[in-house]
Order: sequence, then structure tokens, then C-alpha cells
Amino acid sequence: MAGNSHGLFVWNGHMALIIIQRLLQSSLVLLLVAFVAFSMFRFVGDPVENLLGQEATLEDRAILTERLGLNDPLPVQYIRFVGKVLSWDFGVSYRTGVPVADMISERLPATLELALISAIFAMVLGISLGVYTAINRRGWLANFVMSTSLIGVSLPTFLIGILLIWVFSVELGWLPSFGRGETTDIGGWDTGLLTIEGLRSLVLPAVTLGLYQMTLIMRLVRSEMLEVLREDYIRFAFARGLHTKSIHQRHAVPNTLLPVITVAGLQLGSIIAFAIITESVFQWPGIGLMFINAVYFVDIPVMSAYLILVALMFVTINLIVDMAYFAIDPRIRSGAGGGK
Amino acid sequence: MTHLLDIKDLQVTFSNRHGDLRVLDGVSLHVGRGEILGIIGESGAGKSMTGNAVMGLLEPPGKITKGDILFDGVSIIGKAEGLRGKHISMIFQDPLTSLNPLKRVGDMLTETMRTHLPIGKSEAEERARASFEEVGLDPSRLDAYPHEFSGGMRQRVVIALALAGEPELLIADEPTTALDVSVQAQILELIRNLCEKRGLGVMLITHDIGVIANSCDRVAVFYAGRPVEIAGVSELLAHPKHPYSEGLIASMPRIDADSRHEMLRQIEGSMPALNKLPKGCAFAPRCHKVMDKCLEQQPIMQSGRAACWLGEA
Amino acid sequence: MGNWWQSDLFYSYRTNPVAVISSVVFVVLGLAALFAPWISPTNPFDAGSLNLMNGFTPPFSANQFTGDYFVLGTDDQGRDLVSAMLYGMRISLMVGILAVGLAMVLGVTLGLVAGYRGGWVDAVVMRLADVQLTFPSILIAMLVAGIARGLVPPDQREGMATIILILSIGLSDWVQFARTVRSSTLLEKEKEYVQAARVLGRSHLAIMFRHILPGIVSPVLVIATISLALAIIAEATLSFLGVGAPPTEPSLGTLIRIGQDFLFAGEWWILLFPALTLLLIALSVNLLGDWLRDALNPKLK
Repeated sequence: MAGNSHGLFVWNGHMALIIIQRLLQSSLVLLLVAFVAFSMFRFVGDPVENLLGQEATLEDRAILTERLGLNDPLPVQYIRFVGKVLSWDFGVSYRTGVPVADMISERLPATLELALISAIFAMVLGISLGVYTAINRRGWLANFVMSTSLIGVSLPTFLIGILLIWVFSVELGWLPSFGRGETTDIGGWDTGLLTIEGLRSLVLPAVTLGLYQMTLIMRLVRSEMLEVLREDYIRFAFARGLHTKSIHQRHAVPNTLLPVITVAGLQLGSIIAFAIITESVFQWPGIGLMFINAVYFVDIPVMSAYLILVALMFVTINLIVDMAYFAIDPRIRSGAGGGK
Repeated sequence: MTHLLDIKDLQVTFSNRHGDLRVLDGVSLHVGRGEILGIIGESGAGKSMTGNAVMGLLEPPGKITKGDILFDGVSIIGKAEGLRGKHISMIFQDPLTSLNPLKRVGDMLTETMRTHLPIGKSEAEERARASFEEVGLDPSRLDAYPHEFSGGMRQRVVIALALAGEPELLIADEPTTALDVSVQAQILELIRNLCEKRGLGVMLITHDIGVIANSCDRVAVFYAGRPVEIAGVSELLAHPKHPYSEGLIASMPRIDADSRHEMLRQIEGSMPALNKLPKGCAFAPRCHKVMDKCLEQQPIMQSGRAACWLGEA
Repeated sequence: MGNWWQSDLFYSYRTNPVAVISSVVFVVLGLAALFAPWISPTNPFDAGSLNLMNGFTPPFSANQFTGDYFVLGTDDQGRDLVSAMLYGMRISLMVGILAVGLAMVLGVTLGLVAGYRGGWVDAVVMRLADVQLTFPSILIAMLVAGIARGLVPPDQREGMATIILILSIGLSDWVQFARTVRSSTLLEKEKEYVQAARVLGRSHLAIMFRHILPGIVSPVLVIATISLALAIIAEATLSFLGVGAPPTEPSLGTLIRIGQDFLFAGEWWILLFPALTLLLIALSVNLLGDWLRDALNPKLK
């Protein structure tokens, strides 16, 4: 078309306002979560005793108490806590004595790679199957997929993992059942995506983690798509003779995915949390495994760091979802509201 | 001479486990080139169903169980998909919901053109501008999204889209019902103009006899799944042969002096459900001229004009 | 609450084979769990009765050394799997039911008060609910478990494990109750009988519990059923991860955790039977919840 006055990203006041509003809300949530994390550190168990052990002298304890600033008023301690978090300092693990920030940077790549691959798996397969089952509503294959997905929803994640290990590692011996395989260090990022062994190790955990989300996304996409296919603009597209395939691809699917984005975004957030279970089943050395060990050994600094980290990821995902709406829906972009 | 569209004794049946429901029965009518045939009736009378049958867009379990639909003399039953957009097009009641909210109208226009015509991108864009001018829109707005247009303008966009493949026949299903009264006349005038300029045949479905009076050449009056009278518009308005047509005309508000003293008349009662049709004429229970014969035997179309026993007596 | 809905409910139950089958399955398993000490073939916790020679006896066949027969086989220590599962189910169901009970009491009370009082109480409760809802409930449960373990002296952690488990699942699950009860309360509050009670000078507490609460029983019941399935799975998950029921009092999840170690050696039954039992319970409660939801209120989704 001639002229492009309605570019994809037009920065207008409306959009800026909404984003600022969202950022403020997100910061508030993060401050609240930080408060919970701070309270955990301060009030669950005695930090001094946890750090020094029970045999420490009174003098040592007094020194550490002073150094940790535990004699200051609580609001001051909280503000100092937030300040430390902002500079990526989460204290020292009670169990290993290693700075928690180091543990996180060592383990974060494993979790992020696992979550990313599962998310891609869940989105791609969930959307395709959802669209397929909606278009072929009466087909036997679509019905089969739908009934199978019902079982998938009621299976707990850890059982899916065990089942996959049993079939593909124990019985068939095709894929590794634990660990990340061989990893490559790229500028401090330990990746398993570059070696065959690393990729093979990723398959079962990624499927385990993504399967549940995949079924949810599939069912959501299907019902949304069925609704869209009944819309007038789809009938009108048929009436003016567009090809069925392009009606589905270019008209029905984009309108289907619009409402799916929000839910899918939330689902991706929960992938991070469910990674705890998957990492435990597959002994995957990520932050989820770190967290569950911390729960087991009551390693409070690690727990509170994990909490803050996960909250940060959730908030980021929510922000991205909001931005995605701006990019996709012209009605929101112009501030017209979703007129249906 | 072959008509552009010729529907012969069409019957459409919805079958489910409770039995068969004849939603259309004995529908025969035709539309010529450059002609607007109005189809009028209450909701459920089968107006839209006739349009959907021609388009091949009957929703299952609806099926054509008898009769034929000829386009340019050739039967198109089961083949309508290949004609959609290119030869026959259809527009719907609500222009607000007829357009994909996520696509620029210009993109939809070129997409439709390039589906039907062997033209490249730049020629399609050229034609899109021309078609926007034809329907009375500013070509600079091709870049806009549907929500940026008003209702009347959206219906113009819809018309431009429906005609993008240069069809010979347009089925317009209540094209003005959802619009403001002031805009209705403009849209009807646009359809009228396109019809004359392009030689387009139009099937204009409406429940508003005023729309018929203002814009159609001929009119088919539908009642309970079949046409009860087909006539030229002025003839029908002046001398309705079927008591139902008479009732419809009487219910139309008039501007001339006499009518100020007359009350608007309503037809009493309501249309029977299609699964509870009486044995004889479907209109008999509401007809003020009902005769014994009407209750016994279904009337047939008299001399191609009205399906009523009155004309015979 | 007249008799009419009860008869409607019963009719819907009779004519729904899924509801009948899943309720029968659940009742049978529930009774088996309840009477485990009396019907179980052996006492799995009586270390004296265990014979290590009976270890790893496969199901449906006699042990090759001792000739003892165990229907579903034994684990590494020669413990009868049927007995272990009966006792495990007992713990799984008990934790699940008590956790849902806790969540229900907490959620209904907070929802009622928030909806009835409005104002800042409402704002605080609902904000809290929103923030908690941002996180998956299993994560909240793990977090609460971690905090609770931290607050209990290390030597008492094992003994308090079951209580910690109930607490963490219960606290992670109250939001659904609170939100539903709150919105129902907002509607009920405006109804005439409540207004009338207020005019008659009944106390707020009496109005909340005597007048509003009975009107919102149906949605609470539906959520409770669905929550029970989730709670049972959450319990199994936590126990599987090692932060739930201790090995001395194994739930189905603990049994699955133990069984996983033997899967690679080919002793599949130690894992399979507890896993299937867990699935059976979760599925039957889930299907029951679905049915109840449709039967009590077709609009509640």
C-alpha cells in the first residue's frame, strides 16, 4: 500500500501511559515479593546461627550481627535488602557457604534452556494441534487427539517424566534419563544446545515439562478457533471466494491467537515453576533443583533468591504479553478498545 | 433468454434425529442482469436461507433436497464454491462484524482481487484505489483498519470487497438493517448505481418494505419457506394479489396526505413454526379473506404471480 | 435449600455413568484407605515382620526363596506392596482432605468477610489473592513447606512433616474459594432476605454465616471437589520431591519416589502400582468434580 502512516510500532501517548502503568504495578509486586523474601531471611531461623554454626563464640556472633546490620531498625534492613538484590547480591548459602548469586549464574542457563525449549515445544505443537482439531472438528484423528489430551491433563508432571524415562531410557535405551549431557561454555553461559549429547539429554525433560502446557494451549486454541470460525468475517471471507486455506491461515488463526496470548504467557510463567519437578525427576542441574534442595535443607537465602528470581521472570513475561497485544491488535494500539 | 440466476422449485431440508424440517419448499424465482430483485418476509421465512443456498453456504445439516439453481443457464448445486467471489458474492447484515479486525482493508481488497483475477500486486493496488473511489471512499484510507471506519463506511468497504472479484450477481442480506436511517438510503443508492453501471444482478434481502419500494425492480414476498407473490415493485405496491402482501404494504408508513388519518395496520398473529405448518395455505390462520379451500389445499403460484386461491375464484 | 435440588442432583447423578463409576471407585478406595489397619494383609511399618529374603518379589508370583506369595509383589525390604499402598492411600487422602478443609475454611471466611464488609478489608484480601494467583499453587506450597520447615527445630521436622504438608497445600489453595465466595457474597448481600435480616437487627456474624453462607454452598462444594484432586496430586508431588510425607510414613508420592530408584533395575512394579492408584484417585475425583460443576450450576466455569 502506498504510504505507511500506520506502522507496526507507533509510539503514541496512549501506549506509553499503559506501559508506565504496567511498570509501576510490576514494581509494586516485586517489592511485595522482596518483602516476603526479606521476612523469610530475617525471621525464619536465626541467620547468624545458620551462618556460623552453633559452636561460634558470642564475640563472633556479635561481629556478624553487626556486619549483617541486624541491629538496625527493620525498615532500614528491608531497604538494604532491596538494594543488595538490585545489585544482584543474594547473600550466602547456609549449606554450602557459596554466594547465592554465583549458584544462580551457574545454574540459570540449564533452567532457561530447558524452559525455552519446552515453551517452544508447547506453543508450536499446542497451537498447531489446536488449529488442526478445530478445523477437522469431526475427523477421527482430531477426536483421538482430544480424548488423549484429557488423560494428559490429569497426569501429574512427575509421572509423565517417569513414564518417559521408563519407555525411552530403560526399555528402549534411546535417550539419556538424567543430567545435561555434554555442555559447551560460551562466554560464561554453559549451553547444552551445541552438542548431540546435550540435545539428546534435553528431549525427555523438555517434553515432560512442555506436555501439560501443550495440552492446555491446544484445548484453548481449539475452542477459541471454533468460536472465530463462526464469526461473520469468516463467513464473508468464504462468500467472497477466498481459498479455505488462506481463510484459515490469514484470517482465522491470527484472530484465534490474540486472546490465547495472555493465557499462553501465564502458562509459560508456570513452566519456570514446574521446572522444579522436572529438574528433580531428571536430576537436571538448574535453579529448580537448587530450590527444592534448599527447601529440603531449609537453605533460606537460596529460597528467597529463587522466589525473587521467579517473580522477576513472571513480571517480565506479563510485560511482554502486554507489548505483544500492542504489536498485534490495531484496536488497542489506537486506543479504540477491543470493539467486537 | 437465460436469466442470470434461475432458481427452480428449490427445497432445502434440515434433518436431525427428530425428523426433517423443510425450511424452503417450492422456491422458484429468477434475477436478471442489471436488475434488483427484492426478497421480503418475516424472519424465518426463508429469505437468508435462499441466499445461503445459492452461495453453497448452507450450514449442516441443511441440504438441498429438490429443485435446481441455474447460474447463466448452468446448474451450480454442489459447485458454488468455485463461483464465490468471482461470479456470485454476498454481503451480510452487520458491517461491524463482517470485517477481519486485524487486517488493513486495503490488504483484504488486494487479497480478494488477486484470488480471482490474474493480476500482480501493483495492478491490484491500482484497482483497489479505483474500487474505493467507486464505492465513495477516499483511497488514502486503504491503509486503515476496519475499526477506524464508521458503520456506513464499513458497509461501503464490505461492498467493495464483495465486488473485488467482479461478480455478476450480488446477494445482499439485509445490508442496511444495522445502519442509521440516514446512512441506509446512501448505501441503497450505491447498490442501485453499481447495479446500473456494472450490469450487476442483485438479490436484496430485507424485512423492510420501504427498502423494497425505494430500490428494487421486482419483489418476491416470502412466507413460511416459500414465495407467495412475485411481481414488479410498482405493481405489487399498487395491486397486491396476496393478502399477506396486502398486509405488508398496509403496515408501511406513508408520507402522502391521506395516510395521516389512517392507522398503521398490523397483521395479526405470527408466522407458524416450520414444523407446525397447517395442511392448506400457511397464511390461512392469519388471513382475513380465508376460504374453506385454503384450509384444505395448498395454493400454487397463479400465473407466475401469487400463490393464493383468491385469484382463481 | 429445599429438597428439589437434591432430587435434581440425584437424577443427574443416576443418569451419568461417569459420575456413578468415578464415585464408586472413589468410595471403594476411600473405604479401603480408612480401614487399612484392619484389611491390610501385613503391617508395613512393623519392621519385625519383614523378611529381607522376600525383597523384590515380583507381582502375581511366589518368592523364589521363601515361597511367600504377594499379589502385587514387594519392595526392596520385602514389604508387601498392597499393604504399603493401603497405608499410603490413607496418608494421601487424609492430607488431601484436611488440606482442602483448611483452604476451604480460610478461603470461605476471608471471601465472606471481604465481600460482606468491602472497603479496605476487601482490598487487602483481594490484592493478596491476586499476587498469590500470579504464582502456580505448587510453587506456593513448596515455599510454605520450606518456611514451615525452617520454623520447626530440625529434630522435629520428621514428626511435624504431615502437619507441614497439610499447611502448605492448604495455604496454597485458598484463593479460589475466597474469590468465588466473595463474588457470590456480593450478589447475595443485595438480596431481599439478607436486607430483611439486616433490618431485623441480626448481627453481622449471624447474617454472614446463617443467611449468606447457605446460599453459596453449591459453588464451594464444586471448588472443594476439584481442589481435592489438585491437593492429592500436590501432596504426591511434594512427597515425590522429598519435602512431603517422610519415608517412615510414606504416602503414595513417597512410594513412587522410592519406586523410581528401582525402575532402572527392572523392578517396575514398586513404582507402577502406587502410580496407578494415585492416577485412579485423582481421575475419579476430577471427573466427579466436573460432573458436580455441570450438575449444580451449568454457568459456573
